[in-house]
Amino acid sequence: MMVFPFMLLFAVFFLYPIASGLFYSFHDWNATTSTRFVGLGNYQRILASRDFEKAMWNLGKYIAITVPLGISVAFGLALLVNSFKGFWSNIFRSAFFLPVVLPAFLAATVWRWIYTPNFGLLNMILGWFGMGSINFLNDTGTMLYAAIAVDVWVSAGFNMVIILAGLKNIPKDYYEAARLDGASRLQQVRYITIPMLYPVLFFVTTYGFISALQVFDVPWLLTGSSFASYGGRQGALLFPVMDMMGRGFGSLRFGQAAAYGFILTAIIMLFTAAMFALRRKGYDR
Amino acid sequence: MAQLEITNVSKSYGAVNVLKNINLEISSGEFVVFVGPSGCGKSTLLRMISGLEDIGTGQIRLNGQVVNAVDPARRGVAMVFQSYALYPHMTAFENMAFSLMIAKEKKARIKEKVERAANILRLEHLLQRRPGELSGGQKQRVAIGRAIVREPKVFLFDEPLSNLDTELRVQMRAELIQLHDKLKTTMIYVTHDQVEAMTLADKMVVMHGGVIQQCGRPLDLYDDPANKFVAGFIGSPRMNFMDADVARVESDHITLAVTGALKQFDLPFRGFDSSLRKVQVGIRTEYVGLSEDADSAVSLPATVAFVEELGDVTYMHTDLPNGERLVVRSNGGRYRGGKECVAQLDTTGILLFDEAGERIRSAS
Repeated sequence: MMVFPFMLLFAVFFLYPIASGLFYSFHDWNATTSTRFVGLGNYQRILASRDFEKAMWNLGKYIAITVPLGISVAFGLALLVNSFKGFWSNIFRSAFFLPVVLPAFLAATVWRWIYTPNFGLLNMILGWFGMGSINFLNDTGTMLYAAIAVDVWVSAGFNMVIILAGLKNIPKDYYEAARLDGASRLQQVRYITIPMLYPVLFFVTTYGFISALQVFDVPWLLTGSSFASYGGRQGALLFPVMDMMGRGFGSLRFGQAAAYGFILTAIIMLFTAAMFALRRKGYDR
Repeated sequence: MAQLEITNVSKSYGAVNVLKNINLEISSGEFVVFVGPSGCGKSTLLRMISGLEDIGTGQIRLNGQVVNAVDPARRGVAMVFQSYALYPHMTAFENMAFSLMIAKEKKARIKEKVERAANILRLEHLLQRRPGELSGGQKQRVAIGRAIVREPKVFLFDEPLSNLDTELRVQMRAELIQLHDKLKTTMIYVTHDQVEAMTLADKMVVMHGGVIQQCGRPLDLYDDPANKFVAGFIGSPRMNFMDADVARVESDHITLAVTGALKQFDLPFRGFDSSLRKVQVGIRTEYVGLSEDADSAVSLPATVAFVEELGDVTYMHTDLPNGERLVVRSNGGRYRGGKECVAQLDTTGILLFDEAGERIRSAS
């Protein structure tokens, strides 16, 4: 009896949405007409669509760059902040964490200004070096990297705080023993800091993967997308979640949107399982 | 020539002076123990020798060379930490080989050196285990092994046995003595445990308040302490101290009236400063006995507060009428009950200290 309220809430807010989503993923439905069973039709249509292919290709490139770059930047920032004490440590930590608490639309607005052709901060700096203006958010060669830079800027602070907590837990004696053994700063990071941070790095990597798989807001806002038009020029910033939202709220193909959701869930679960398997392998070794 | 010379070394953290004008010479092959209560500066001094702590003022010379600005790794010292500081993600072999790997030694040479150290410490069967799979004593031996493979000129031990249980500490103490005999390398050892210091040291350095109180062979410090702090710190239970008035000063003896004693008594003493009217009498427990009668020369009525019966020895903690505590030792004796007793002082074991705690010695 004591668990009944929990079970009720769990059923209403978790089980029912999952079950109804699964139901709609096998049906054609536009929210106005009645549902029509299509079997695996929605899944087949998504997997065969060019938008899905484009979104997955963009996502692959985005993950391959964002996750390692984001963690490297966060790790570097954590080492930097950790090397300071007291006032300066607090100042740096707060400064680097600020983008995390900034609303996404505000961050995107700031970066759209930075990326603006001719008058934007970045183009102004490039101008000092004699380089011509680049339309970062409309040039298909730079759009992805421009979005990656913003995402790394936004997420680095969060990962930095977690890595910093891990760094604080490494006993000072290890570094002192290594100093006596002749290890340089770089060798101390390689042989002590990184191995000692494995559990923390595993967490931020897994979390980074899952977040990257769900990328949506930053590219959506940077490209000024709407449900009528999204993904930027030539779909250079089209990502799966964006594609899913567009199919649902743009084209009113809710059955396909639901199927898209289950495909993404399956991909996220596969990634996570692979990460845990890799970790177990690392422990066994 | 001394292998390690510490000259006029001081160290402060802000307004706190943790070491004050330390001067010390350590000869090659000596086993030196820095001992003192927590916060006396012994670990700071050790860390300054290792290079992990900057030297405030003064000089530290190793084999004649000033090492104040020399990198810790280049001083030729190896340190064993209280926490062992074994890298948990490396095996015992990898931990021991770490310094050699950093120095880019050849693999065959690394293997040879690690195996030689493992052989000395009987660690051969544990080399592939990680620290988490080792007991406290085994971890300690791996930490010592890591120091041995570096073939240092000086070994530094920072309270290495304090995390072990009593039985293991005794065992590890014996192993350290054997290791020192085998390697014949200079060892500097920090502890707050005076029993550990007494059993290990060739030379003991007693520190208190950032100052070296006395330095010498353990039994010399026990028998002939320079001041009340050393007298009280060395020996377990600690030395008894009692206030006394100087009643009369003669050329070859003085007459003392110990507070609470039934009679005054004479103490052979030459060259006593007759201006001193009050002294502190120090006497170790082995010079204090119990009696039912009060006829002896120095007898003090006392009340038994509590008794520690250890089998071979019994310590009776008694309270004197003026509230001071007097510990009486009885070898093989058994407490037969009763609260009131008379403590008897054997005057041959009495040491005198002035009111500042400095020792007053008889002229020879």
